[in-house]
Amino acid sequence: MGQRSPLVTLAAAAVGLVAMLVVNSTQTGTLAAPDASATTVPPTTSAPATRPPSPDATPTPSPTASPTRQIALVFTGRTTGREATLAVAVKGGRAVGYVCDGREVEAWFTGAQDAGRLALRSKAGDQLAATVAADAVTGTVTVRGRQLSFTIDKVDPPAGLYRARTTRNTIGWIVLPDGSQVGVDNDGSPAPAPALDPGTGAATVGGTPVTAASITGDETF
Amino acid sequence: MATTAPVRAASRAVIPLSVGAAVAVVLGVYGRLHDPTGVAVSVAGFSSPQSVKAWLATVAVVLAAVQLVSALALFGHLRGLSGRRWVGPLHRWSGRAAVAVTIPVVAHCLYALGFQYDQPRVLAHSLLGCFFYGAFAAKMLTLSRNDLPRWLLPAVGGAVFTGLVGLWLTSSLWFFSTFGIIR
Repeated sequence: MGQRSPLVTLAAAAVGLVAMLVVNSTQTGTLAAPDASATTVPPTTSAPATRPPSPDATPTPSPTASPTRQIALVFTGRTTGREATLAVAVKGGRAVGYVCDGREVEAWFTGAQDAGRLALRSKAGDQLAATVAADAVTGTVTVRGRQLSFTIDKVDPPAGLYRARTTRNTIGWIVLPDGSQVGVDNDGSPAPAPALDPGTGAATVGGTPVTAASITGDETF
Repeated sequence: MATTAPVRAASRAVIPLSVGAAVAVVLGVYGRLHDPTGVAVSVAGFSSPQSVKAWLATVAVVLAAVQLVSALALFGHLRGLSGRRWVGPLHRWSGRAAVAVTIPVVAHCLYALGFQYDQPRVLAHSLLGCFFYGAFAAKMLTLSRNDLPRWLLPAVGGAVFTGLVGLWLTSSLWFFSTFGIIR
């Protein structure tokens, strides 16, 4: 049974894999490349301006030098075809997204923001790709194999994105600027979320009180 | 001599097995170190990269079933198929095809998702992915030598098959049962 053809097969598989990875890195490199030089959410007036000119000043004033001043931006709205409601929170180089239909479909996304471009993904592998501007986020989200496009606007509290966790459930709420809420309570089988008091973060899930946190964008879960 | 020969043959098995282990480790380390991008080049005609991968993995599992049956025939366990000349080529080419269809899948896994362990299913899938290609490398190396113990080929072949079925269960079956059988 000694022969060379298995080695050829093995080499071909290795070459194929390397080729696929190279194609991937050339085709998607612009989205992927982690680049710290421009990790800025819309101008934070203070950070660069208040710094005294130093001899080693780099040509690009870097807002990343002051992570404590990173401001959170939250956007909410509906997909273009009104199939689902979604929210995106951006803080520094991180972002969180949430999309749900208020009944049974939902997905949480986390990932990086780089130079105004978001590449987020869910644990299930769903993707959210978008561009962040000062007052809106535009992009597409893939959920359950459907690709939905959206443009959502910047909102101020109490509108925003909220999340609560219990031992069994994860509940997400999107509060829209008009005060309406869309959310899903997921304990393995998703269901509409109970009402949330955005002011206190209080809600009652299955008879148990829970406290929701306002999502700012740099959470990991 | 009669006592040392089996020992020597067994010790030769170390080479393909250690190369296979190295392949598995390298894939795992790459998957962990490479920053997952969340996106990768995909195959056209499907609704999402996940569905492409679920279907390609399903094709691979079907071919793996052909592998199992043809391997049993090659070892003479299936009386009806013993001695048929086309069984050998069938085994080789179904195996090559099975590995070929997994290549785009693993490339997407490694590049876009990486090695993850935040859920048991995902951890099992990540480990099995590394194990599968390690076992595949070990099997190809086993086939290329004559002087190895006879148990080695069925063992590594079985490992490849088990790995692939495990990968399918932790990905495609999960995908189809979660999202429905969608294209």
